[in-house]
Order: sequence, then structure tokens, then C-alpha cells
Amino acid sequence: MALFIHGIGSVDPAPALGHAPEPAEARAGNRLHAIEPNYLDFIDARASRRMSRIVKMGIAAAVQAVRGSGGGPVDGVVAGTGWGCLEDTVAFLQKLVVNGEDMLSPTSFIYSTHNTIAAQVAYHLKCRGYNNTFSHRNISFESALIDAQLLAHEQPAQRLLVGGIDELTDTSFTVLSRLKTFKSQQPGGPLDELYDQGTPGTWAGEGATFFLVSGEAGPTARAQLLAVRTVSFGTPEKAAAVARQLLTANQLTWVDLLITGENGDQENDAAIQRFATDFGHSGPVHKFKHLCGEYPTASAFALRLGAELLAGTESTPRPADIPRTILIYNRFQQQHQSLMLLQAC
Amino acid sequence: MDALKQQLKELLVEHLNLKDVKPEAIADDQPIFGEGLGLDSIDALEIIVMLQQHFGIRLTKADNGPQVLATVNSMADYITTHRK
Amino acid sequence: MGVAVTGVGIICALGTNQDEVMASFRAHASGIGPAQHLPTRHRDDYVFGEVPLSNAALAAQQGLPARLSRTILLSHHAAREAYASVPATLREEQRVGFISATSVGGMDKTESFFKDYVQASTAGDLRQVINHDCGKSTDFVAEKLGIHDFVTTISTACSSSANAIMLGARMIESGQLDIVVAGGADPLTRFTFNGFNTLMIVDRQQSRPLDASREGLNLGEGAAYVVLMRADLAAASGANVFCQLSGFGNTNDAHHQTALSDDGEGPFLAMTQALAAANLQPADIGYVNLHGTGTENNDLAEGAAIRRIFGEAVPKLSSTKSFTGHTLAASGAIEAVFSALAVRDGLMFPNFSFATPVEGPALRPVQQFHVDTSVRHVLSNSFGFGGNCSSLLFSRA
Repeated sequence: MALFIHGIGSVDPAPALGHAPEPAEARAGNRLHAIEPNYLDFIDARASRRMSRIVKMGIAAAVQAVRGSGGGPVDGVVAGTGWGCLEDTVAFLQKLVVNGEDMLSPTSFIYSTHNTIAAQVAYHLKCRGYNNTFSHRNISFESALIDAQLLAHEQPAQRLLVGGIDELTDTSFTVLSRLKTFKSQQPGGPLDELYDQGTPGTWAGEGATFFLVSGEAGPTARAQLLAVRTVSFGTPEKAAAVARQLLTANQLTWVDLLITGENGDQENDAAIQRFATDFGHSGPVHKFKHLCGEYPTASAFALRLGAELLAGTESTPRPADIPRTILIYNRFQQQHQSLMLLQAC
Repeated sequence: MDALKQQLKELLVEHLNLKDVKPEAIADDQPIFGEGLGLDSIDALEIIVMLQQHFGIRLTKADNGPQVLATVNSMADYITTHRK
Repeated sequence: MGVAVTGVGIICALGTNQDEVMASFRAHASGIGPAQHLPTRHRDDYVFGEVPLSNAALAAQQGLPARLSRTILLSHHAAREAYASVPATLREEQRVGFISATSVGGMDKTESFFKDYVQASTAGDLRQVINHDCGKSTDFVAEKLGIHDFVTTISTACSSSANAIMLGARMIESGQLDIVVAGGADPLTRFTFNGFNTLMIVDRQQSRPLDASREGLNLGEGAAYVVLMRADLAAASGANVFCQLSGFGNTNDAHHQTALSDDGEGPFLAMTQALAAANLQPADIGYVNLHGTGTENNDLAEGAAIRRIFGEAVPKLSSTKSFTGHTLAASGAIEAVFSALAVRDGLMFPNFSFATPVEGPALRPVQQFHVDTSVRHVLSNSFGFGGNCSSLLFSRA
């Protein structure tokens, strides 16, 4: 049930992986924000007049993914978003509270539902096929991938858009800060100072990343996702055991590269060390959250990184040996764990 | 009356986020829904709230909304007649 | 391979379990009335399909703390009832998943938080806002039930739990899971009530789907789950099989963020796909549980799609939302429970009231709760904001 990745589109804090963003560009304190494109390249002004930022980010990423695959029809859209359409949700809530349930207008409400992004992508592309949205914390994107994998298994020729989208707003940043999600120190040096500080908390991030996938290879395929699994309510050792099963099931004995979701939080990163030790990986390890920050669908960014490394895209820092197999392991604090196994085409 | 119409046009552009339209480009008698300005049913609901917020006018289903909201002229007439 | 429905759990305005809900239907007693618990200033002007228990009472029934979100309290109530049908040996030996759906997550708690937060960004009780995200209630219930092989949440507005059931069936068919508890939950909140009200599609009186006098929907709340089981496992383990989930369709109308297209293209495609997946003809369908919200747009679009598929030979059909209110993300699962009972016991669910058909589709709903054992196949429709359209098809085992 391999999923072939034919196109990738992303609106995130690190649009060109080869040129990690300057602090001034994408970082404000402990907060990384997406570098947004000119949306007029993707949606006309009239069509986008009611869209909040997350919907525009999603459409731009989806359209980039379709263009990247060489264009053509899309047969279904599957999205994952952990936080949903926060800007519109907060806008409607605010008016609801301040106006005392009076003088409310519909726009922010009708665009507040979690499925708005996948729905607007479908509307924009006139795609009447399968459409689904997952919102399950830090495995929202993986859930969408599992659904897409099933679709590809059922009808391999289908061309599907699958993506992970989350936006950070001032309100969510404030509330998550009060929940002590982020580091209290203000960074100023290089991006990788996120790690190894031995302190709690992480940096905030956001992003919209879509993939055009299908069950068939073809000339445009850049990488293939051999397997995706979620591990709920389990230890890092349980996830490592699942990872070994995935390798065995795919006739692999090791992977060339491990990409892990360290986010600078000492407890989270200690758990990732436990995974790495138990899994027994001896090759190189890449981290990614210093590039995109922490958000529920950050694993979509990791998949983009992995696929671009496998494809050897020019914008990517090529390791000495271009890897042929990559395992991505992600987790966020005490929530779920996920595994994605990738292979070059 | 002209000041009211100009205010309405500016409010429409602002509330409906019509970035591609200049207020003065909206004609007083131009149909604003469908082919005219291209607005839709969601815009109609937004305009109803806008009229409530700025002019204290409460339109209900019984008030023949489509006719009242048809053009800047019809809205201005309704406001002038019903404003308290 | 085949997927069987082997258990159900439900809580809605009609009652707190399957027996209470069915007793309400037998008595033709709807759950629509004034709200006792939703703290809205519009309480006296509108009617609701409210679960007739406070959070404290709901929590006490389940031995849970009353501070939990109403979403969690409803979800756990119904999921526990459904999962009780699965014996301990199967729970331990088989791969079990929990796929839930919600559109607003812990919004009831977020509203309370926000009341203080708008005064000062340092104010507001954080123990309330941590309930906000959709996955919170799913994780809580999965852990309580001890389900961990696969857990996720779907949020496609009013079609959410139909899609949860569909995904559960597909994961069983693909061999990834053996048993799935699938459904959804949504509480009444000021957010959703006022939201629908801005669209001017909330009826101040009890809703009248398919009737020419209809003026919109009533908002409701609740939760429901079905137990889906690999058909051969259901047979081998002697499970109480309600029916098979024989087909499903998921499409997008791609027409408008909130309104369905006039010809009901999305609903038409969803029902057509479900029929094709089950290898059935329209004439095989004995009953359709409509999405049937009671809005003008839904009646016309769903009606057009029904006419396109069934022509003059329209099967028995009705909208149970005139009894339960529109329970949003829970509605697909609540109506899946009714559909499963319609197949197993031939129960035909009525509209609460009906007088004059809507011009155009001119559909006439079932008006009396009755038994029709000739029914072998039942369609259930769920459509939502964003053009999400889903149909489930249940068939006699």
C-alpha cells in the first residue's frame, strides 16, 4: 500500500530548506511564523475575500502540490488540522461574548469549522470526490495519510491531495504560553539553539503542507511512503517495536536516515532518545522543529523534508550520501507517537 | 441622501472585504447581488448585520430583504424611512 | 470480507440509552422543547433538542468528575453503552479502534474561558480551555474504554460521524483492525446556536422537515456510537448482529461553503456511490433516513437528489431530526443507530409532524412509527458545511 508522492506544496517558516530562515525573517522570539506567498498567485481577490489566513495557506499549498505534480485533476482531498480554523473561531467567540449573543454576522462562524480548509480546496479545484478532515492532536496529519493510503489501496490510480495545516494566532500563542508550552527564554542565536538547553518548553510554529499522492508510481514520483502508523497511549519502546515491525514488513533491516521530532523540551526529547536507543539506529539523525516550530501537524513538514531529501531536490542540503530510506518518528509531550517510513523511487 | 449612499458604499467595501472594488465604482442603482456586483447570500446576511450595527435597522425575514438589499438606492431609502 | 454492526450506544434529547430513545419513538414524544441547561440569552425564544440532564447529573451517572466538558460526558455515555456489547476476550485478543467525531470539541468550556479572557489575556481558567481541541474528548473516552490500537477524530461538520463510521469499516475491510467503535458527539453550545442563527435558518418552533411550512432547523445535542466488527469474527463469536454496513459514499458538493447545489449533486453522488459499493439498485432500498434538517435549502437539494435516484418510486423516508434536533457531528451516528434498528427490527421512524409537501421534490415522510419487516436495505444521509456529503447503507445480515 505504498503512497507515491508526486507533488509537494508548503507554506511554512522554511520555504527553502537549503536556506534556513534568518531569525528576522521567520522568527519572533520563541515563535516561528510561516513565510506567506503572494496569494494572488493562487486565488483571486474576490474568491479569497472571506478566507482567513489558514484557508489561504492551505489553498496555496494544495495548488503548489498539484502544480508540482505537473497539473491534472484531483480525485479527493484529505486534511489534518489539530487546531482547526482558530482565527475565525476566535473572531466569532469574541463577538459572541462581547456583543452578548447579539449583532453577530455569519462569515467567521461558517469558516470556523475544521473542514473549511479541505472544503475550500475542493471548491477551488471543483473536486467532487472524496473529502475528509481529521482533527486529532499531533496525529491529525498521520490520520489523513492513513485515510489517503486506504483510498490509494482501494483505487490506486486516484490522485489525492493530503495535507497537514495549522495556524498560530495571537490568542492561541497567548493561551499556549500560559499553559507553559513554550520556552521562557528569548532566543537570539542560531536556530538549532532550540535543542539541548535542558529546559522545558518549545518554540511555537505553524504551517500548511500538502502532498499530491497516488497509489501509482509514474515519472513524476519523487518518493514513496511505504508505511504510516500511529501509536497511542504507548511508551517510546512500544513505538520502537512497531518501527522494527514496519521495517521487517518492508524487507528492510535498517534505514539510512532517522528524522525525529525533538522540540527542545527536555522531557519530550528524552523520550525521543529512548526511542532512538531502543530502535537501535546507528546512522545519521536529522531534527526539524528548529525550522518549523512545534504545531500539531508539524509531521507534515517532516514528511516534506524527508521526501525532498530522498528526491535530492536542489533546494535541500544534500548529505554526502543521498539516503534511500528514511524513518520519521514524531511525538509531542504526552500525546501520541507516529512513524512514517519513506523510500526513494 | 448622497452622503448616506457614499457611506453605504464604503461600508459595503469594508464589511464584505471587497478589495478589488472602489466605493465610488458602485453605481447607486447597480444590482449588488448576482450578476451586478457578484455578491451572494452570505453577503446579504453580512449586510443585514451591518445595517443593524450602523443604522439600528433590524431586518427580519418578513421585511422583504431581497428588495431592500437590491441596490444602494433601495438600502438608502429603507434606512431613511426606518431610521429612528 | 464484510463489516457487521454488533452494538449501539446513544444519548440524545429522546433519552439516555437505546431503550429510552425507542420508548420515546413508540410514544411519539419528541425531545424538542425549551432548554434547561444551555446558558443562552435566547433560551425563551427558541426550542432545542437538549439532553435532559445537567453536566453534574451526567457525570454522576458515569462516575466521572462534573468539570469535564459536556462533549466528553456525552461521548463517554454513548460509547460505553456501545462497547458493553463487546466481550472482554474480544477486547483483549482483537485489534480494536476508536474513531470519534465532533465539530466543536470542548467549545462549551472554551466559551466560559473566553468570558474572562476577553477582559484580560491573563484571565480565564486554563482547566477549561484545555478541553478545546477535538481530540481531547476522543482520547479521554478511548483511555477510559481501554482502546489503544487506533484512535482518531474526524471533523467534517454535520457529516462527521458518518465519516467516522465509514473509516472504521474501511479499516476493517483493509485488515488493519477487527473491531471499531465509531460515532461522534456534540453538545449544545452558544457558539453553534448563535452561529446557525446568524444564517437565519433556526426555526423558533419545532422543525418541520419536508413540510411546506418549514422555517429551519432546531439545534440538538447528543452522542452515538456503533460497534463495527469483521463479519466473520461477529459470526464466530456469536455477536448480536444488527445488520451489515454494506456500502457508503463520501463526496463534496463543491458548490458553496454552507449551501447545497440546487440539483443536489453532492448528495446524489454520495447515495449513488453507496448503492454501487453495495451492488444494489435504488429499488432495493426500503427506507431512507434523510439528513432532513428542515432548512429550505436542504429540503430542495436532498429532495432533488432523492428524485434523481428514485424517480417516482421513492422508498419510505423521514427525518428524525424533528424528534432529536440537529445534533451536528453526532447526527450521522445517531441516525446510523436508527438505521441499524430499521434493518434489524423493521422499525420505520416518522417525522414528528407533516401536513403539506414542499413544492418541487414533493416528498411525503413516514408519519407513524411502525414495523415493516419487508425492509432489507436502509440508506442514511449526512451532509455538512463545506459541501461534505456522506451516505451509509445498512443491509440485513
